[in-house]
Amino acid sequence: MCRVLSYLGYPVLVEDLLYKPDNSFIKQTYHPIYMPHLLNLAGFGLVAWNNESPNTGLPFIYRTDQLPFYDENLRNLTQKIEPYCLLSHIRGVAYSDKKVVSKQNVHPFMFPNTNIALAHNGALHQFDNMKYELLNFINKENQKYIRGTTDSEWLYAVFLSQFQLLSGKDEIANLTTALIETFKIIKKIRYHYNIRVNSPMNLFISNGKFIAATRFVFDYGWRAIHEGLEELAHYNYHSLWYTYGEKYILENDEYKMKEGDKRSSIIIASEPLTEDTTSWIEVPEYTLLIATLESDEIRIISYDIDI
Amino acid sequence: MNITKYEHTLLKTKAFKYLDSKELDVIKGYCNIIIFRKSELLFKQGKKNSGMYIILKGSAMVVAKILGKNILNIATLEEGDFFGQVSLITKVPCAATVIANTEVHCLELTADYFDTLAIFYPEIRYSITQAIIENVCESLGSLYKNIIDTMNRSEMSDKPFPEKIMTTKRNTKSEFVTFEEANLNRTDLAKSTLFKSYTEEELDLLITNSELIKVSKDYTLITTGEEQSAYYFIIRGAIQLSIIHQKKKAKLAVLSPISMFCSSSNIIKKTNMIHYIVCERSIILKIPINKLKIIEHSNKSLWHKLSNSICESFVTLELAANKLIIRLNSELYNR
Repeated sequence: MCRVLSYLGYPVLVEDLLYKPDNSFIKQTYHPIYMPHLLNLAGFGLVAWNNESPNTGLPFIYRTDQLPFYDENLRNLTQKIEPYCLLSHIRGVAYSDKKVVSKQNVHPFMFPNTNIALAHNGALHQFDNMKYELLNFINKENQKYIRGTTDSEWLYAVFLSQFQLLSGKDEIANLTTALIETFKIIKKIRYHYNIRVNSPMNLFISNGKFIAATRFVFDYGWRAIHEGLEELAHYNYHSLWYTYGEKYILENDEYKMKEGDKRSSIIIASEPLTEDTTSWIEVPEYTLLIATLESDEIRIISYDIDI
Repeated sequence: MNITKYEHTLLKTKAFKYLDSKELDVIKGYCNIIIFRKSELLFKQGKKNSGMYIILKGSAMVVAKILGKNILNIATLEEGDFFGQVSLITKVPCAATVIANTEVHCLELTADYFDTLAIFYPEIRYSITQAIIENVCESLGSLYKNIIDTMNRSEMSDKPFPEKIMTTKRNTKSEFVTFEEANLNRTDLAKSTLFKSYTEEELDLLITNSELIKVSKDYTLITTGEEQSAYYFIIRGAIQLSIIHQKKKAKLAVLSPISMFCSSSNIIKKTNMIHYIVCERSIILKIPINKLKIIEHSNKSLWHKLSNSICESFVTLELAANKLIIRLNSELYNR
């Protein structure tokens, strides 16, 4: 299972998100609060947008299949850059020789024909059975860009292909439609192959102007028969949280969102960055959350997903 | 501090209203009185606490820093009130800060001692648990009114999202299944978090008095206005808890396996406020109303364990209701 962190708003030093808080993103990899064991690490990725670099619409990208807490380059980089939008992902995979650990499988994914990036927390059960059916919903250009072996990259290709089909000017409406269309496609294929086991689809999507995040599971509460009835950590771990305010700051030795006249910043993440979660909101299952920044003000739109 | 001088007050507190003086003697032997000076912090929001406090003298103010708002004054607690039930039951950090308005004398009921009561004095623990559940359900009533007010003010849509997908109403149904048909075995059930403290005999009695049902998506298990409900355990699948008002629906929480729930009308004499709707095909273990009486009278230990689970479920629901109010004020929800 993976961890995802996204940010939109007042420019922030990446180190303050990734390393400094008491439950920082990197700390979650070796001292997880929400999991009974360590993440099975298979890489770290980051896309981030700032206004000071050339081609501001495109993010800078850092992806590695190495362990982030041993990565001196990453630490150095995070002490130097202050993006206004960021999407970061830690890849966790099962302990299995069948799993492929490679840079090509590291999230967030971003094809060369777009500035939209996607990261995924979850896994599609029996993905190998359904993956070639997905090709019917991926346009030819995007098919060529798939380089890895993960379900997440294929999901990205399906979503992007649906998004590129839409010609409306309302980017958020197109995003919502493409996301729901993607879920419907997956649902149809799962039905066709009689796949009826819990498969989380917590997707984080951004192009620097918005962050969309879903908390959604196909066949929620249906673990494979041999896995027993429950694993609370499994359900809790695919969670989605956010906090927002004027600016993300260090106050009284704790990182938090400062309240102010304007709410200009938001963090959406798979778990809170601080042990004190009182200023964080957990989003319930079956929710789509979209954050945009308009006139320095964060706007949060949310929908209950019912497909 | 001599606890005896508070005996009369203790019997009148909300938490101990079902205890007699003999039972109170047991409590007195193991609980401490703590005195806070005026303006001192009794509880700090976001920090873990040892358990629950019962105010025996003085008054305290409950404040909370809530996302999107500054510090909010939530309530004033007086003699006889209690707070910290969330820490006691769910062991999660405090959701609010409590500050002494005057000098405050409190009886501290620690979570450790509360857990010990279940072993040595289960009746006492049960009586306190019942008092807590009632208090939480009363509080849920106030939160419900707040949610309805917010929904009335909100421009949220009365149409489901995405509208175009919901063109046809799904057929919903519920049918009895056997353990074999549900691919369920007793061992898996016994190993699960909820049932692992049950004895063989208790689990047998529970199963004997229950029905295993398979329910389709969108099936309503408990609806608003229902007077009493069965007790339900989610074995597989998921249940969505919503508040529905004038065709507008606000999602409170989604319950996963293995959770238990029932209507708040089982606890207090007020109509239930929350809809429990199946949001993923589910396998449910249901104890019908008439069987609840049988369990209550034939096996006290099992009845107490059910009460503990119900208490935990309502305390969690209270937290979810508070979060929903924040979400309705922060988000453009279902518009």
